[in-house]
Amino acid sequence: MTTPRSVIFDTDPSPDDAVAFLAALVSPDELEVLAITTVAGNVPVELTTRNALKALELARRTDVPVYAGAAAPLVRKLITAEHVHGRTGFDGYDLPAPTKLPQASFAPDAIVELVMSRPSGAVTLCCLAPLTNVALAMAREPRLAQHLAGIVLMGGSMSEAGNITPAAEFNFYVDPEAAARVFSSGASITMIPLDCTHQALITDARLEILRSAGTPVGTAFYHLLEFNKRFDRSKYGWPGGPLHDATVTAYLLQPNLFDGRHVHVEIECSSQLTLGASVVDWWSVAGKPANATVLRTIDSDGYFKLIFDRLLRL
Amino acid sequence: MHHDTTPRTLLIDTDTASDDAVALIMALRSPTVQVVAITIVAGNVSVEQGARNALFTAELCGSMVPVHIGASKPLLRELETAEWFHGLDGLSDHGYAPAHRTAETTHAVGAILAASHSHAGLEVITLGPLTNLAMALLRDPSLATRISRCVIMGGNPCCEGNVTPAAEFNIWVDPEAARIVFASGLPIQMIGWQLSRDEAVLDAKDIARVLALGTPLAEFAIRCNSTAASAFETQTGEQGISLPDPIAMAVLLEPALSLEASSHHVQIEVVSSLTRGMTVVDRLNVTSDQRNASVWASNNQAASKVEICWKLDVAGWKALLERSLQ
Repeated sequence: MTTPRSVIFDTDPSPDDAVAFLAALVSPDELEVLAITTVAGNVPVELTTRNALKALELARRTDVPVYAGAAAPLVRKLITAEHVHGRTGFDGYDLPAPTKLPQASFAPDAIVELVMSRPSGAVTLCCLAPLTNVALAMAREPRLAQHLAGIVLMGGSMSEAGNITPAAEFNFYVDPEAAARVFSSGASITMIPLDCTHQALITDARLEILRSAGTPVGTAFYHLLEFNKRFDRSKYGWPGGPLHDATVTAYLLQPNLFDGRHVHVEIECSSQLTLGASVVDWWSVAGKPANATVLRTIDSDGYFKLIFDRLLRL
Repeated sequence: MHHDTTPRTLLIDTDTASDDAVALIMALRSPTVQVVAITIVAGNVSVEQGARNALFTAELCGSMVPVHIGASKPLLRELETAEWFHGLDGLSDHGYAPAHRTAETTHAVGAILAASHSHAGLEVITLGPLTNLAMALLRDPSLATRISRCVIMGGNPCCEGNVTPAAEFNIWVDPEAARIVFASGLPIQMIGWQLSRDEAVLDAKDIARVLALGTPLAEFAIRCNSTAASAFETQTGEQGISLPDPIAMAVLLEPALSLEASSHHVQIEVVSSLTRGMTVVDRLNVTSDQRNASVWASNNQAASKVEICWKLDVAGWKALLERSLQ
């Protein structure tokens, strides 16, 4: 039996983020979750931190430390996504207020400490949010990128139109400079773009699996994801909202659910029109060295089976 | 779009190289349109070479359509050509003899404006960079109201580019011109380069079938694309001839060949070098969000939505090509 992989989740919890790290927490054979670090994104960092604590208390896993991180992007004003996730980021179900507080350390410092205190190649960063904390950690510790086993992140888009502007996916758009810094860091990066997540829709049939489980976790996420879904359904006419962030956990548990290519990716930082666009050189026409594996397809049935099966172990 | 009683009139703006030549043949041989003028722009090759190629192709078709030389370089940028893809003469360097006639003395921009006045319901197709059309629109913005349909071969809607990861050649060469055209209010139908990939590529069987037609036009259509065929294989690892301009022409001639289409706001990137010439498509209709107003509101007010073709009737396109070469 192999030793579990050590991971840190850097996240701006809306419900899909919480599914991602809770599914990891109930997968101790494969994954050891060292910490949850939070950042401003879907909602301000006070709320993302609170949501992380709430989700851990729901799962009775208050042993997992939560570190609060950056309250704003590196250079730009924070843009949030209350239009999708509601004012709290966790609208749709009233979870009790958390009883625990976050740790005292700043999330980027905690990332540096947790990664550098372990052997090289021991820790994988799972990034579900704007990459501000990761960029700050890399700025503080230049050896961080090489010391990581890798970064698996949900962000960007290739052939899918952007979801916050026509050209950009939300996480990269909120902090394009941070994303650019991470992609030029030399870290081993696996990028899961909208091309994958827009294939992974929470249909009514899939939601029903959560509801009919009848467990506190199943019921809570049934309502939270149901709230999410309303936006995508009314806005795009899709049969359900995408379960974006849990793709990161699914990739760690079962990479063969995905297919992709090792290519060069660059993040647009200079133009307002295309700000945050992830320019993926799929055909290697620019001749620059590959810096990320971009996953383009997902077995969405296999994905939901895996993730909901894990989530309902709670 | 047009009435059966009045013949459809068409102006073709082209940077005539190998795939443009095939598109010209399709239009000049078509019973459904009357080509009133061909205007030449710098792109694949220099504007002079493009004019020579268009005149040669017209002569092969027995056509006396007027050919007008236009812009010799993009509005602001240096010209970037694609001889590596089309050959030094744009027609794979087989030493085709010059045509017996020369281009008209009227500049392409004047010819576009004149045609828009003398042919009500004029349709326009662009097969190259949009420099000529942008210049015409700058000279007379009301041109946009006199063109009933503008088919543009160009762009990479929601997909990778062919000249950079972010852009398609025709738009990338003169992004400022493209920005002007897309913001002009013209009724644009966009045929992106991706429609000419995969099954739409002429494979060995298709090529054999075309050659078996045994006509000089069929022979020319394949032979003038020999450099393009090897460049395409180098670029994509796939064998065959990819024909973006003839596909755009096919959709112009037979609109039903566009099997799936939808209309969206589109803007062209001109600021960044990384995303230069990117055709940014608001496919998920997010630009109505207040937060996008500073970048999108004025465009969305002035410009018509662009009809983007997502899926091509591949069998229909190949059948039309063969009919054109008989």
